[in-house]
Amino acid sequence: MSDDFESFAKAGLPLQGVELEDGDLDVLKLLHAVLSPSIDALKAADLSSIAAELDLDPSRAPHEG
Amino acid sequence: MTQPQDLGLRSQASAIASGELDPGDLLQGTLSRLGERDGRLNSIPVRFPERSLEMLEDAPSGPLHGVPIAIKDMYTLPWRGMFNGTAHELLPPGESGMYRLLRDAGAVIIGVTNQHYLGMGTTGIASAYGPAANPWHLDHCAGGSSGGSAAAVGARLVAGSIGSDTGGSSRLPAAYCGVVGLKLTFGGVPRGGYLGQNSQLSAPGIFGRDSGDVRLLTEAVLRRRLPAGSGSGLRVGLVRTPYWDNIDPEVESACQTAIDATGWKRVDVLIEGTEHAQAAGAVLSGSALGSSFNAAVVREAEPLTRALIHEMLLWPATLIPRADRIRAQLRRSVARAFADCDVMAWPTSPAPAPPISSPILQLPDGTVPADPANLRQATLANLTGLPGLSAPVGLSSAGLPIGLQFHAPWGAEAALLDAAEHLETVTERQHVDAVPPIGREVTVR
Repeated sequence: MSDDFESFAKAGLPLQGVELEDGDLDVLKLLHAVLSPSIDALKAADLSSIAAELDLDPSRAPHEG
Repeated sequence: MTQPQDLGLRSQASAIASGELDPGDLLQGTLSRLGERDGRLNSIPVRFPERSLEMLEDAPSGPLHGVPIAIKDMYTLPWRGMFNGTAHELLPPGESGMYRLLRDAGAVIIGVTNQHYLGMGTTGIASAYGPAANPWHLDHCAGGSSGGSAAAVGARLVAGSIGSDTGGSSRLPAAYCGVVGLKLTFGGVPRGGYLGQNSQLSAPGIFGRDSGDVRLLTEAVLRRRLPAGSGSGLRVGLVRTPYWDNIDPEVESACQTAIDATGWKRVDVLIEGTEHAQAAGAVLSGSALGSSFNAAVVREAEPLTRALIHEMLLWPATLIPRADRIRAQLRRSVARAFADCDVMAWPTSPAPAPPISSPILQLPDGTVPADPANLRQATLANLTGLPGLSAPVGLSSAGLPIGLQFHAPWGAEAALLDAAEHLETVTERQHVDAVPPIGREVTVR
């Protein structure tokens, strides 16, 4: 898994104009290990029963109440 | 005799208005104090005495006439662009909405406060200006990202300051530094010239020593009165899971004791979607970052911030609508919860400020980095748009402040301030009147 992520990062970041420096990948892998469980859970969650708030206005309560 | 810069915001404003205090003396006294005490604290690294004096000379009459206010590095000023804690000007000089509000209220901007690099951290240890220190212990974090704004008020360098809050960035440093910090409801202040203008999570933050000072400063920036009401008969919602889980025992005890003292009716509240709130907040925060930095800013970031940016760049865009669904779920759920309670409460940060040299927390379930643990406590207000306030409720055995945060419905800043004022009353102001050692230093003239 870690190797997969490293390959993904090495391939994906340069496409976005990011040049990785010495040590960047090591820190990135550590941070990824902390963050990825919650991100993966969000990816996998069944959200089909939650309606989107199409007219979002964060300054007010949602219209749906 | 008390020096004018020791006075709180209300006292400074009223003394100037009555003619008892010369605002020029207050400005010079404040600048002198910054020179004397802000060395290792590093809370207001950018000062411009000539510009401050010009503001004073041109200051209109207003609720803050002649009162020095410090402002975070996320707002543009006519003479200085926005740097956001980096070495680069990210927005050019100009009149931000916040600058205009402060100017029109008669305030004098005394300097730009330190902050976490790009606002991307809750400790304040990474900044082009160097770390901001905690007024209660200079080896500990001031918090972030608005750490300098909180530290400056806590150390009695200024009586009021402005920050911002995209992920607890005002409430968390307020808790760390023992001051009152208020995140406004989303959208209450014109967003031009503000880094968070593209974010749907970000709102300005207001700092003061107590709820009365924060009320005065908030009224000035919202341009409306927030009449004080009684905070004695509130119903307080306690969201046990996740916000009271895995909390440092001293923090939990201080927060619980404070709530006990209020006499409020307690209601257990369940908020749906909190298990994904932190991830949703990170995704939506990351989605708004693109316009706020360039390659040089990323290259010069300290390794952890750089890694966080890299990590966010690797997240698929398909996460954004999923995060939006979570936000919708949370907003509907808190709206329903406020039918049964007036405010919701839980510890602002799960532990007191960690050392600058090692920003990790020792919690009952183990050792964790400060940022994710802090964000768990803070993100709900940013995702929903609610106002939130952190109030000091005690000191840890190590002498570091502990904060309790409240949330109220959209636009109900007055209810938060009423709650905080009631808390101050029932605790005989012992927490808001506590002065850190750096604030008790005697100036020799």
